[in-house]
Amino acid sequence: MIDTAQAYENETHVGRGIADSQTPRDDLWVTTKIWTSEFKDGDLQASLRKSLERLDLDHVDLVLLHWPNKDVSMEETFAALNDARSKGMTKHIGVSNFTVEQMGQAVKLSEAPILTNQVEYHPFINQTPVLEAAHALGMSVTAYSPLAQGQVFDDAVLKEIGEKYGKSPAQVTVRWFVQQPGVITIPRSSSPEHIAANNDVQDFELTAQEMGRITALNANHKRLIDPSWAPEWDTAA
Amino acid sequence: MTLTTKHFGADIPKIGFGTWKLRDETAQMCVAKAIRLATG
Ligand SMILES: NC(=O)c1ccc[n+]([C@@H]2O[C@H](COP(=O)([O-])OP(=O)(O)OC[C@H]3O[C@@H](n4cnc5c(N)ncnc54)[C@H](OP(=O)(O)O)[C@@H]3O)[C@@H](O)[C@H]2O)c1
Repeated sequence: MIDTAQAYENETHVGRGIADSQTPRDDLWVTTKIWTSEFKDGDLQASLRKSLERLDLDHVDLVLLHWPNKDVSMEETFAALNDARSKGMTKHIGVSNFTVEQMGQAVKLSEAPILTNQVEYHPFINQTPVLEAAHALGMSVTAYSPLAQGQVFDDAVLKEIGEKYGKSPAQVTVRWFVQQPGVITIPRSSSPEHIAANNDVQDFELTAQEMGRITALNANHKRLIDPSWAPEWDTAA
Repeated sequence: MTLTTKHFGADIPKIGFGTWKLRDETAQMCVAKAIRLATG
């Protein structure tokens, strides 16, 4: 699964990489995200059309609203998103950086199911409210910045668990996500070796105690991505 | 083997590849590599 976005300004090269892989389209999962300036009916569909042109694809598998936008009504945006889906531009739709309340509103307003809420999630942030809400709604949670943008590498607990299995803290973290039901993770790397390592996590299994130790690392609740346009985040009880 | 999670009938791969901050030929090369690893 490849995760890109209009805002990353890399859809053209992502599309070239997809072509270079020579992988049958049905074996691929491509996600892109609509930037908040394109949330009006008509704008959203036109911007997704441009994304498809840049990606050189006739559809994506999933399109997300990148951040909530209070300036455009959710009714209008979800109608446009569903219209794009019914026109075959995307197989599925979802959201990103939505609060629990906004997730509920999205589900009510959307004709098609909301497949995922993509949020910041790594061992140092407590995302219990979003995880519980997603579970109740049947949605998945996609963990962004899953390696805490590099901060997992220095963690003593992750290092210690990794030593037991001959794995790096990054691999232990990816495995921790793999073992959580309904959770998807999208680590980023510019290094072929790291990309290979992040996929090499299927030959070991964390114990329930190890899973719990990693989850407990969220005690200090560290959020890395909090721009001025972010919503009022949910806090764990 | 690709690990997936099923929601509303869709099988979503559990490990994907993020491309934020990857540009130009680096993005192209890394995306191709990530796809080959996940599907190969
Ligand atoms: N929806 C949103 O608003 C949103 C926001 C943020 C991110 N995202 C998505 O989530 C993706 C991932 O998050 P992120 O890019 O913030 O950061 P991340 O995946 O948490 O961390 C990336 C960093 O980890 C390093 N790294 C990766 N694998 C490694 C390994 N095996 N060993 C050592 N170092 C490793 C990378 O360096 P090297 O390049 O040297 O490997 C890079 O510096 C993004 O690319 C994007 O697709 C979405």
